[in-house]
Amino acid sequence: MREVREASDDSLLEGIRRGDEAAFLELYERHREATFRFAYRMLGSSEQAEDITHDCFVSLMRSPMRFDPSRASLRTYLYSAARNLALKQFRDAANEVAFDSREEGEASQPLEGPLHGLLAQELSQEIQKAITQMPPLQREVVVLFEYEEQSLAEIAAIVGTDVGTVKSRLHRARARLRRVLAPYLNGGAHKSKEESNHEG
Amino acid sequence: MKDEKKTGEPLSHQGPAPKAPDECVSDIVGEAEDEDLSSLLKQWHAPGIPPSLDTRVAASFHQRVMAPPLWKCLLTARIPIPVPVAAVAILLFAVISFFALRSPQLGSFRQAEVVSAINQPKVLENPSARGSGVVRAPLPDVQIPSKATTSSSAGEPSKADGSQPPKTTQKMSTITLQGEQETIQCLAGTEYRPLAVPRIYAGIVFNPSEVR
Repeated sequence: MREVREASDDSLLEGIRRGDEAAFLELYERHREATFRFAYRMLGSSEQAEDITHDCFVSLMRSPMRFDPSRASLRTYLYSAARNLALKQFRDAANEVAFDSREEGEASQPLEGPLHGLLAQELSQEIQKAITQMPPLQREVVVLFEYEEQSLAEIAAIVGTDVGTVKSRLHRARARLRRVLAPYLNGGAHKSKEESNHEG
Repeated sequence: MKDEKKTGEPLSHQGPAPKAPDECVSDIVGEAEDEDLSSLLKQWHAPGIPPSLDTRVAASFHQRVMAPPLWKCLLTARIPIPVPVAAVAILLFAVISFFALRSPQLGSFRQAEVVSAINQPKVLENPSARGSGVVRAPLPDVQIPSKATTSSSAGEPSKADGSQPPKTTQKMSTITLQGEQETIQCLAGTEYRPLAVPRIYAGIVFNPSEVR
């Protein structure tokens, strides 16, 4: 059992190919939270995130040979699988939001400021709303960079593009979030400035 | 969905933006603003792993990976059959087997086996007969129980003059061999339906349908 915990992902995958249940459970425990978090932040639904996480590991147990450790890490493989499943759900749901909107003006209106006494839970909900309203291609790079702390090169491998494209998408995504969440940045300084302008 | 990279378009800088290494996106948009935004974004917490997910994944693993091979499934598979259905099936099988064993075709097969196992009777050409006859050697008295033929077609009893009708399947009567040499004649071309249960006495193939 101790050997399983200390084993690398490659050796655990080899155990899965042999039908070793302990190896699979260890691998599952190592990567399930990250996969679930990413799927949840992409879709905004716990139920959908659960389905995607389950499908990712089912595909891994069904065809462990598909993963090539020389190309990327297992975590990258799982992120990529979850991303593909999430984008498929977007297409199936006929989401009319553009996958990657370049129009800065399409951003939603700034939310009401914290002066109205939003609690931490409400703040979390507002952030969730701001991120889930973003185009999927911008959303995924924000989630992977800000929450999963992946490097730009790893993000590029996950989303299947080059680093420059990832940087561009991340730049636009952060600009959009800064605009939407402006009332919550810098302690509401943005709203105070607007009030003073109106009074003046 | 094609994304074009913006070139030379700073946001927070008046002059051209310096080139940033791949790992330092914050150099482009301002490090302080990035830190504020990152701190704010961290306020959104994802829920924990639901217990149902672990159960589903474990069940899927057992179903797909731990499943026995197909040949083993076929050998150990069970087909649930209701007791009345099984009883009727067994009864039908028994009835069909019973009638199959008693069929005439099977009787002729047994007759052929018996003929080959005993001394073949002598076949003599009798000019008075229109067919071949079977000569029997002197024999002691043998009692032959009367037995009706089991042939499916209705048979006609043998006539007094000894002429045999075609396709004879007649009832057997008690016959006593007197020990004389008798010649059993049969009409040429006559079709004989062998009995379902032939009788062999003292090495002679006796077909009651040929008796005069």
